[in-house]
Amino acid sequence: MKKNISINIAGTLFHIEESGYHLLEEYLKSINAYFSTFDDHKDIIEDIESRISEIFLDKRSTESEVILLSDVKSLITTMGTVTDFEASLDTDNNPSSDDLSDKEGGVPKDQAYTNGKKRKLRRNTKNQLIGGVASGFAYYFKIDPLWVRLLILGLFFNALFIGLSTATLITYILLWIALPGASLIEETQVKKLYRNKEDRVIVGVASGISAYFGIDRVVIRLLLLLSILLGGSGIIFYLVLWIITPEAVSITEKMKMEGEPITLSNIETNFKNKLKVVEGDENPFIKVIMIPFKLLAVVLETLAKILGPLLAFLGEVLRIALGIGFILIGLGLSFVLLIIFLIALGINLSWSDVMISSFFPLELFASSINALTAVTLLLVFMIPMLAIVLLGLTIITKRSLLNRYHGATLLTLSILGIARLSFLTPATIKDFITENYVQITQNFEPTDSLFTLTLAQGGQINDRVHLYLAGHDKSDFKAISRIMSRGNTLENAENNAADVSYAIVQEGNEIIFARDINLNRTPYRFQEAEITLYIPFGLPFKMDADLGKILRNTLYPNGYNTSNLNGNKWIFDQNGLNCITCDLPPFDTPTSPNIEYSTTRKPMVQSRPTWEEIDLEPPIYDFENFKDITISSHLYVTIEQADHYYVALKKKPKDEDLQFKMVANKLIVKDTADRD
Amino acid sequence: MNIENTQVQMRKGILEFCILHIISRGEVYATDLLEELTTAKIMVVEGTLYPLLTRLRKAELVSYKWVESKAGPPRKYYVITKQGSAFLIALKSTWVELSLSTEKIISVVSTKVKK
Repeated sequence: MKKNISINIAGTLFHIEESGYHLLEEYLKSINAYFSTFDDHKDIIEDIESRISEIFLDKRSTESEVILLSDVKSLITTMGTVTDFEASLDTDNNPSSDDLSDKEGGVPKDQAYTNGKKRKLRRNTKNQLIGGVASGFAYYFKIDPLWVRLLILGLFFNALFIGLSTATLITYILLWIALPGASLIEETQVKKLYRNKEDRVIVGVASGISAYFGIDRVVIRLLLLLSILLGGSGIIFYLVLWIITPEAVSITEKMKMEGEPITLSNIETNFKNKLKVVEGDENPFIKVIMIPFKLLAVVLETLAKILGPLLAFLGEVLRIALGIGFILIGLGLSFVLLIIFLIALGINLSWSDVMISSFFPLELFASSINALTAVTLLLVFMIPMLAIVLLGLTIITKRSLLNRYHGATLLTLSILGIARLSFLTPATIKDFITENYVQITQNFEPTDSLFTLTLAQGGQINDRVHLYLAGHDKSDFKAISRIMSRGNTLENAENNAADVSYAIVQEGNEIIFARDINLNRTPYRFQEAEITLYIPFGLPFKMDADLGKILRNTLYPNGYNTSNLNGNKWIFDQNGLNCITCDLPPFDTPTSPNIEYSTTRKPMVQSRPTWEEIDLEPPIYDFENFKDITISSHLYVTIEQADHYYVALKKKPKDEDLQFKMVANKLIVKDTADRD
Repeated sequence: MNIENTQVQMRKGILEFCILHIISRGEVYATDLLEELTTAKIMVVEGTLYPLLTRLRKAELVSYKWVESKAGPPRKYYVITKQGSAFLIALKSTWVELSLSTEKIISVVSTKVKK
């Protein structure tokens, strides 16, 4: 009993023997692949199919109802195989036919044939190592995929910019997603680099290279050997080429390796030659050198046989793990996006705050953009996330889940989203165009006990509260809080500022500063608070160590830093802030009385230092008439106007000596340790 | 130099000329065209005809029309175009020249051999 299969060729139904069906299928596939590079290949295939149908109809009317294997075989003989077509149609390499068509003054047939076809950029699923992007590009530009692969590897493993590697990877993945896959037939005229397994020591890279460049393989092998001995770069080179070059298996591939045009006669010649392959004609010396490598090849092969199944299994596991990884990343990011989206729409998810607010400026989304913008943002960012998920699925299932229509749809939505976003962005920016502020003054009465300035417990620090301390000659504390905001008009900005509050409260002998401003549901417009606290001269006070987190421009200009905060007592005098209890009194203090810590961000004006307050007499140098100054970077320098030139050095006794010199109107100051 | 290659090349240019000629006689069905070509042994495998026909059609030397058939689906009947006729005339004169000069040369060689 034999199984029959029903097929439909050119609209006619046939019953065909199973074995015959498989042969016919193979045959049609090969023809399809062969003609796919031709113009109007659909017409050609259609014609051929209708001819096949005709032949079968003929057979059916004269002989049996069922198409047999022998019928298919005789059909193939009449129609001819791909090699027959190649032999009589592929005339590009033959100058005589070109001459002929020129002489006839007719249409340049062959050129019209191959060059007239517009190539489309596709992933080549027929020759892929990862996603077929490289060989797709190679097909598009009519070059050997080898060069594209080397370029990609070079970009990815470049030693200069990490960013470039990431960009290469992302571009590859994006192209993988965006380009539709197609089974492309490579140019037969392009000479390709193959590995020649028939003439090999390890896997045939060297003899492949020698065939490609037409150099004797002995030279290539010696060069490889030398490079391995000198630093080992040859090993990497060999491995890379091993991975990215295919092995020449079929006669056609072997001919491509040699760069021979593929015609029927050439194939026959090659086939004949193949039967009488001669063992390499290398000299004995080379053979001896190659022995260890031949042994290595044997070891590798044995290992491959033993470990092959295991490696294949591990590869599968790795693939699936990678796929799952992509899916999880994609889903996770989508989830986060979705939550942000919901928050942007004003839907409050109490549990999500905990998750995201620690790294994401939620308020920005919650109040500064409208629902439409939020939807747009979701559209723009969600699609790449979905693409990542799909990529993961693709890796796991090993087939593309995105057809070109899905891809096109997603791409269109992305572009729409981006277009919409570019339209909405100016509107959003407009809300931030001007700045205004409101100012609040609070007074606090000093108590008998030691006063402490502390930072409130709880809440986040968002670096938008800045506290400045200054002294004044009144008897109470005065806090001037200036809350700044942006808005689309001055009035709007002022309103946006006025609705925001910042809490400073006195509890006994403590003044407590809040960690952050309270937006009170005002739209987020870059609100900031700048507080200047005036402290009576001569009144000692303490500061909480945490206060350093909001304290600005107070400690450092007076020669202290935040490590001095904890446990010490402080006092303001006419010259600024002083630490009463610090171990080492600051020496190098550019003191200045009545520093006006301006909240309008004017540059800080300092008056001339008062030398009398420094214990040591500063050494004075009598350099004059310098017009230019060069100073080592770690020195603190004050330059100011005076009646005459005056160079003074303030330093602690244990500090290193400085070198002063004048070179052509230029004063140079540097450490004696520094070299010229 | 390779004998099979040269043979294929010799046949190739003439093949298009022959196809055009057959079509120029009047509208013709591809299968009939094939039969004539294969009996004359100018074409070896049938599959090569279709790309050639497509190429000729692309160059607007021939066109086709669909004709109903009793035996099966509608068939493509090829007809020559105006351009095709002009093209064929040019080819014909080349062929006549070529065959004449080839004949001339071949005959001279054979007489030399006789001597």
